Amino acid sequence: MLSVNNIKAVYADVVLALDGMSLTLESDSIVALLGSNGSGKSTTLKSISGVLRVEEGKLSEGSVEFDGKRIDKLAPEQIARLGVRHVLQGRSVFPQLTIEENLLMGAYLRKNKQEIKSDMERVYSYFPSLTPLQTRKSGYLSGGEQQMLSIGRTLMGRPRLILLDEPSLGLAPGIIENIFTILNQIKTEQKTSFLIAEQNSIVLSIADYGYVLQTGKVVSSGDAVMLRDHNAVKEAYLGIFRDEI
Amino acid sequence: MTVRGRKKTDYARDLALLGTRQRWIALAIFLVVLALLPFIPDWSGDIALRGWLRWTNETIIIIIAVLGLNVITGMAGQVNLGHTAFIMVGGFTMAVLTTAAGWPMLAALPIAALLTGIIALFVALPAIRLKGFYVAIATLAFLYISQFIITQFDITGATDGLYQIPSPSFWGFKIKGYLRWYFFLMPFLILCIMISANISRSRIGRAFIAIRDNHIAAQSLGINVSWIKIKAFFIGGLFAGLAGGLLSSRNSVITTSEFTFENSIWYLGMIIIGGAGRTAGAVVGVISLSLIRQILSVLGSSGVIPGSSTTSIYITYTIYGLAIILFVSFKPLGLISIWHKIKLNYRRWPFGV
Repeated sequence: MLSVNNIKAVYADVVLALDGMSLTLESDSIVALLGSNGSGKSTTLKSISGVLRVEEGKLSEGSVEFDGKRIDKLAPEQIARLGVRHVLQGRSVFPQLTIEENLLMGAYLRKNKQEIKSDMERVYSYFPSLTPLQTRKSGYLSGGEQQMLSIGRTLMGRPRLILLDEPSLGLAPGIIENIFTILNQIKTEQKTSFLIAEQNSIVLSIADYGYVLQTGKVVSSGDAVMLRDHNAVKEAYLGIFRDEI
Repeated sequence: MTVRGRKKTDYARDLALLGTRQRWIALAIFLVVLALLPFIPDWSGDIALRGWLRWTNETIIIIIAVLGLNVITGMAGQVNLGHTAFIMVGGFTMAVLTTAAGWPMLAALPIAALLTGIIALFVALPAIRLKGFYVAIATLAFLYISQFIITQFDITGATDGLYQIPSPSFWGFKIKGYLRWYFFLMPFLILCIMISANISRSRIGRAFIAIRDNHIAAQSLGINVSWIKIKAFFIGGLFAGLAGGLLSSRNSVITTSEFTFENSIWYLGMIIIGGAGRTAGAVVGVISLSLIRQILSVLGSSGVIPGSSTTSIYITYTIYGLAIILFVSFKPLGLISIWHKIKLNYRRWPFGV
């Protein structure tokens, strides 16, 4: 479905953030990108969604293919139209809009009101805690609720692939678990694939496959079950070295 | 206002602009007040209402223009320092069409609005490439460029401007005098307020707010940010062009020197003080600032404020500057936020704080 081939990403023509990054993602799967701060997880997602260029970065080498077609030259909104949706890091809700209006923004490209309404009901069923808050401005929501809203808003566009950037950032452990359970449920019910950049190893409990990044490169990859006990994972982002284990 | 405990039970009611019976009553009272407003005697005691009604008419036109600025700057977040130039373009379109081409005023009015909208659309083109501060500079440049261009041609009256712009007339009934103008302008105002209120709760209005609040997130939802900016400028231009057309017809004269950079700053201040991005905020902002300006100028010319005639102007500027600083630091959501707070307290009563 998605393949990233040996990309190099540069910010402001100076900072090399990705140095030959490759990954593939099959339909109906959850793939995890693991790594410590600055390892290039976010940049990988931005390279796929096209947001990289909006932030003064560019791909100097390599290509990104979605369904066999190159998408690395497209604008972010064109990529979004293909069904690849990026949930940005740190709860990027529109604070001045209500929850309902935020969800409607997610369905911006769709016209069928009946379908939009039923999708909205479905989002509320995934995240029941949002239901009583529909007409509240999203700026007043708690961190967990904003993260749920960001994901729900993305679902409103009926994406085929969701790029999730650190959904656990700044949330309490209970809420993190809750969100990951729902993500798994969405994957099975909606046939949506996920590429999740995450520091928290809990992501491996729902992922099918994982990549471990270090300084812009994949240092290790494999089935999620295998990665969970892998030494390289601990080394790369828990900061525990081999002789300490 | 709805009392605590009253819930909207279906989507139609939630979406309705006038959801409750109280709102209909409030609207009816408001319309009656508007109809009676010109018959309130002014401070000089006569109902011929020179200063008062003249001010009201001017304020109505400014409100229409500022509603347009509210779309561009308040909703879409593109700082526009050239809004006065959009009004000027509308005004000159009206003037040229009615004097040189001999069109009736009412036929020229939609053309004035449309042409301004299209020109605003071209001003938006640099804004697509630029961000924040630089958009402001680009629109400022447009103000001076458009003034320069208009003064270069004889058809636009060169530096002298144009005169004898006709008033509208309906089958021989001419709109003359402050009172008739008041009732002629009022439907335009109501229409523009309704359009503006509808924009902010429609798909396009949400898109404006989305690109203002987080343009990257908006893009990743498939919104073409450039296109939305162009639309914002176009809609804002329509309002400004309409206001300009009405203005030049009402004044019957137009010169480029009326449309100063200073006016652009006043319009921005009106949005800030009223509450940016909200229709009611724009209306309240224009009325309150124009009122302060008017009261001070009356006090100045009647000798209540000592000193030369310019003293009251300086006092106006000082108050204006202070008001903006105070509002930005203490009430960044503007005057209208005070009203929203009152409403919320009423709804929550007796549980509010």
